[in-house]
Amino acid sequence: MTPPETAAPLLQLQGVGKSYGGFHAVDDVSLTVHAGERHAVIGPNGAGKTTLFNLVAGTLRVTSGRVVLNGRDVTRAGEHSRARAGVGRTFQHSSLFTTQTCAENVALAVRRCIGLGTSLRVPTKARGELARQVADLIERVGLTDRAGDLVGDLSHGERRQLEVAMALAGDPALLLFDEPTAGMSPSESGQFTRLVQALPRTLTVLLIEHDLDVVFSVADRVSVLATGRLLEQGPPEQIRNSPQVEAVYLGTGHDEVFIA
Amino acid sequence: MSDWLNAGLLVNIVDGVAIGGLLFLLAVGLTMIFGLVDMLNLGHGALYMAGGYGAFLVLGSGPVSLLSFALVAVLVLGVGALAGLGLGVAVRPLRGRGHLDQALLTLGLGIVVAEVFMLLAGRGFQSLSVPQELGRSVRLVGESYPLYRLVVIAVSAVVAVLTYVVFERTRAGSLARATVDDPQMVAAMGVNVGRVRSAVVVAGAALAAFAGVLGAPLLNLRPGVDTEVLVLALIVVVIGGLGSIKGAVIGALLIGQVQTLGVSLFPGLAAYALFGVMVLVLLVRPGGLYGRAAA
Amino acid sequence: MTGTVSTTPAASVAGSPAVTLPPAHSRLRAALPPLAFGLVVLIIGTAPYWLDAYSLDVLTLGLTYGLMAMALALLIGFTGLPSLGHSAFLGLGAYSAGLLAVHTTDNALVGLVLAAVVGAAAAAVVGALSLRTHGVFFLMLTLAFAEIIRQIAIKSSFTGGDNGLSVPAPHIPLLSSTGLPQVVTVYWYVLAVVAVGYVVLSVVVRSPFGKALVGVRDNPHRMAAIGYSVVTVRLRAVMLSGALTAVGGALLVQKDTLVAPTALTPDASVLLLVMVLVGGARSLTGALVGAVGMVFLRSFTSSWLGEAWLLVEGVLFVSVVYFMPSGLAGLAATVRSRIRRGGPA
Repeated sequence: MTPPETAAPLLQLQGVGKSYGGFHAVDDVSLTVHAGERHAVIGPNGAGKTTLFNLVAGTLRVTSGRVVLNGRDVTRAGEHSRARAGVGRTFQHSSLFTTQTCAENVALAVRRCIGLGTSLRVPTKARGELARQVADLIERVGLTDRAGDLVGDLSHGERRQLEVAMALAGDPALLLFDEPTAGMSPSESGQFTRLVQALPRTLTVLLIEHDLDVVFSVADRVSVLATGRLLEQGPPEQIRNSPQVEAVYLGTGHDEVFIA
Repeated sequence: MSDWLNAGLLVNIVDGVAIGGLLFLLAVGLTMIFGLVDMLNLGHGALYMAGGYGAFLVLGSGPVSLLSFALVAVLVLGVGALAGLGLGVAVRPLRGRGHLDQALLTLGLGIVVAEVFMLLAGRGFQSLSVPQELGRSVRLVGESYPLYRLVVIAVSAVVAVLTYVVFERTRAGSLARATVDDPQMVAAMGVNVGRVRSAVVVAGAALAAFAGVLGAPLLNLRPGVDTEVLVLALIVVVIGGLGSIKGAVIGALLIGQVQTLGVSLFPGLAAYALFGVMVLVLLVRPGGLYGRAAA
Repeated sequence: MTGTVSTTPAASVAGSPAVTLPPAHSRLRAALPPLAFGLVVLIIGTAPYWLDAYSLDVLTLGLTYGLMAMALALLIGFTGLPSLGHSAFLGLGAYSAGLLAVHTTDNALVGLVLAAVVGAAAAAVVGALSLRTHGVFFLMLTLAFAEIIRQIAIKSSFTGGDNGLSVPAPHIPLLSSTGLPQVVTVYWYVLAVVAVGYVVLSVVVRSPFGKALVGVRDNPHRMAAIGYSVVTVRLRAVMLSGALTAVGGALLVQKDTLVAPTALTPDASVLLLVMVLVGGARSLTGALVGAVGMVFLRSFTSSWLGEAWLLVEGVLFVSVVYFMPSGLAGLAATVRSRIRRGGPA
């Protein structure tokens, strides 16, 4: 495994918080993800993981703190600006266009990346390039056989793979996964783990994940979130053996026991 | 104070507060139903209209005592609450079909309700009498001012304080507001999200119908009054920010002044002023005064 | 689609036995859509020769509303943006074309161009103010905007106030010199403009831009996550819709040589909305058919129900939202796919 600390910081959260009235969903979270790192955020239900994820993706705006991407302050940048700045993401609840084929879904992303997203027609000479990039992305996630099938006919795991293909369009620097293996069968999540492991190290990965097996086989570093605050951060071995983390998961003060 | 100020300007300002109070009663339901239930109730104007015409059908336009007026107002409040329950049931089949279909359904239901009252009460202009006991005027900073309007202001103020305390100063209220962004998290904290939502729709509908009774002695009942008050209430919500009670108060008071003071000072410009205020607010704060900026 | 009949096991179980249908049968089925299309063209193309003047005028009105309903369908059905105040754009188009005819030129086409520009500009303002935040702001702002335009029309002197604006009959290039009766001239003119509008909108919804619109409708966050500026995409759709609706308004004033504030009431916006919903918001053809149908329905029912026709409209509105969410177009699609599968139609 590469020692991530030597690489440049790609994503920095500085004292990030999100509150609703007097209620803090995410409270003063600071963490740094270095270029090439695979960073996982874990925590029991209601810990604020999804809120934190949305703050990074730009879906929600922070109420305090800063978000810095590749040295650039993107705290005020919206979702699409962050996407254009190199953030690709998948969604927790699969949000693909189910009445279209896999290829059409990916083409939507590729057209935007080659500047044809809102054109009135695709010039003949650009059609080859478009088709090539779409085929390429679909192959990278192993869906070539299903390229022409409707997304509605895909299995849950296959949809997640397609999500990755769309997120990879336009070569993002940072890839965000929002509970990618939720609802997957064990074999599907195994396949998904291999897909993430096979991603090039030029890509930085931040994932929010329930399945600790996936986390410990993918992540270089793990952050633990509880009631909106950062509880502990470190390499997987440290987290695995942390009594503090164990206490949170075994339900001191929480009704829901975390199931790994 | 100059004579010019005495000669009606102050009365206009207080009138504006009364209109603002009525608008608040409408807008607070609209904004909280949207903020907490994620539903835009375009039938809100029809509920107001139904409240006003309902009271008119019971009381007629002749003189009424405070007791019967108050009884009818409470009755309408209850019927409005039932209508809110009905509304919750009516939109249930559309769950999962998105905001648009829900909003359209409420609009369609509103049209049907409004037209039914038109059949019952006719299309002419109607109004309700001010209750006899409140028919007199009181001295207000040297001016004679109708007592009823002061009562309208007082009632609206009480509702404003109550809703503010419930939603913005209790833990359940602020948690409920967080449900829109992260329902799972709030559910995990032991709040019954579904019950909070139904309660908000019921309360909002009841207040809208109640506002109809309260407003009927001040504003004429006539065809189209449903859309007129709906538009004003929506402008209030836009200015104040979706889901904000503070915003609804400020917005309602502002629009109340535009509608009264604005009209008397610049009669030709009232329509522009309404839009102008909204544009100004949205330019400075795209989410409204107290709305959340991002989306 | 070609005329091949699918014989998947599921279809055979549901419909006729699992044998291929006779070729003659399938040829007929393949010929049905073009036949229907030809029939519609025939009816529209010969209407002036067999319809009485009143009905022809109603049909012209239906087509005019059809253009506006298609423009509204672009927003509601394709972009997912509900405008409850489309009468504002109708009014802006009608009054700007009307004022132009009164003060400058009676050339109908210049009026259309002016209306389109005014409509697009107003739509840009409304869109820029309301599209940056929650989608519901757009709905609210359009509603408020329409009310304000109506108030201005009532209160201003240059609009003729409550009485409205009377304008000279338009000069329509090519058609006005043919010597045909005015109602027929206007019919051909409106038909031509609406046909152009139909083609423009059809090209748009099939383009990458059209797919981006649908993407934004179904999942704005997904579109933003792959780098689309949701605001920009929506704003363009709003401007196009505003422009075409204003053109519809211009047609209205050119046809009637009169526009009054009563044409700008919320009822007008609701009528457009019901047309779109009845026809099917996700189909341009549906919106057009819905508009023509509703205009005829209104002309029949309001003659014996008067204002209570609004109750009919309201009930229709609610029923469509509940029971026929994809409108007539959705119904037609279901029937078509049944015919194609060989089951009972």
